[in-house]
Amino acid sequence: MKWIEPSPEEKERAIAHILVRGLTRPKSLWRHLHELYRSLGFRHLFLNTALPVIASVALMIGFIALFPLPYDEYRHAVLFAAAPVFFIFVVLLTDMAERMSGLFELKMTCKYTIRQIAAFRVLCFSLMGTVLCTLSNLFIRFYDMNSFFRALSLSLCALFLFSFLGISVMRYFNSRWMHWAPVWLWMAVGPLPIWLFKKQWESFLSQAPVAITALIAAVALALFLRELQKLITIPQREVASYVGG
Amino acid sequence: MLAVNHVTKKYGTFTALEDITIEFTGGVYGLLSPNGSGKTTLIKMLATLLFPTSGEILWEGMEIAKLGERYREVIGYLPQNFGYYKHQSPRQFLHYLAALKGIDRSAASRKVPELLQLVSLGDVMDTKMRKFSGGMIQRVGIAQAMLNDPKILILDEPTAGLDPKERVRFRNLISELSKDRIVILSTHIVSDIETIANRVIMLKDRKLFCNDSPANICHTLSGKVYETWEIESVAQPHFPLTQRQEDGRTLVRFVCETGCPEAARPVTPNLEDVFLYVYRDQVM
Repeated sequence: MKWIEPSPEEKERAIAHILVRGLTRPKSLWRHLHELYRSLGFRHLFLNTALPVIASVALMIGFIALFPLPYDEYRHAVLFAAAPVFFIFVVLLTDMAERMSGLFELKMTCKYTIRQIAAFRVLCFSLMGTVLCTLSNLFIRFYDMNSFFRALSLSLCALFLFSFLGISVMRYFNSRWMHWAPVWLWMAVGPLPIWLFKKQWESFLSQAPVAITALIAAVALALFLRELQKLITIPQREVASYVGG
Repeated sequence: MLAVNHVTKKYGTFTALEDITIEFTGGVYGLLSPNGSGKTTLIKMLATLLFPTSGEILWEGMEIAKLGERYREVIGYLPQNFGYYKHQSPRQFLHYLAALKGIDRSAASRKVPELLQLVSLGDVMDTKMRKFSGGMIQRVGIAQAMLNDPKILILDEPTAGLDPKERVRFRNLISELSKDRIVILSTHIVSDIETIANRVIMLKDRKLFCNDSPANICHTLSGKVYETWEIESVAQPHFPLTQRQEDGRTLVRFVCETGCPEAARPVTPNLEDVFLYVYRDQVM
């Protein structure tokens, strides 16, 4: 039998074809989330989360409504402290609900693990947090648009910083109590400075340039999304955590 | 083939399992040892809930941790403490888990009633699970583990809390499901696996003690197990296994390594004898 040698071009084409078939491009965050949504749908993605969502919204509204100092004099400090409340508590409470259901281990052995579902939920919760921040800013009357945008960028800055920190804690730490860390951190950065520095803290926040706070919010959002991508694709993680142990 | 190669698992300074090597090909594997001997740790490693400190676990030659969702797609897992949503019916619950397992809706609609019939829950598939007995919940657990028609079915203490009738029903079910797949069943109850396991794996002192057929394992005590009504007349050193009361007298079954005592008659050893003898120095 006579063999016909392939030309260099044919070899190149064959190699390219094999590579296209053989190499799978790592999935992007959006592809992961889209696939999750298509397979599970909102009903299954948010199963057993109604109570945590209601409780967290109530906590955020309660924090603003029951703030003990004169609201008009501390509006920036209050908005800054209130912005991450919904996000922090909804992530914590949904995690607790998940663990109490006794299905955590089983869900970790399924194709779509509870960690991936948690990542989807976290993104949705941060969007809900953004809407709540915007609504709380709209609720408060500002003298001009500049004041409104300053307050909104401050709120989003706090929200995305805490979203980023919260998700980093989920990813890096395995300890049982670690998922309470964002709550302690929030208390330290949110209400504590108001109590310690009072008017000085309000003055500092109210004079922060919009460009700086907006920039911090944008950077924190980018870091948050990057952490989310990592959380969803961690190859090997023991059951002790998707949010602590 | 699922291969556990020289696996050691440590929790800090505590070693739970040491240098375990096992190959699973097909059929029912009974993982039999007392509580606290590392069964659940091994089961959790096979289910990718824990990862070895050293050694590797391979499925078809690939490390299971690296296979990720490709491995999770071929396993069915029933954890020791099986949770469920009380407000859901078995049908709703199985549909939810089918979605998590990546099974498309039309396939799940076909598969869910089929499986619920198989585990004899066909007539209550739309009843809320809060009304279910422990045995019924366990059967829901088996059904969910079978949703993706797994090549590896992993069951951790599946008969805990079941009454004798449920136990028998469960054993028959496992026997039926074991065709063309690997079934790994961990238990400390000998009767759960005596009749259905093709191989029995025993762990002792954190290490693999044996991995053999029940018949071969029983054979290790061949000619050493006896029964007598007069245990006090047995002079040789012996280890009592079980006692049975009959007509006000006590029939004692025991192991004697040094030849047949006069007042006793030799009996065929069973898996329970081996279990009690092997773990005689452990609290059970």
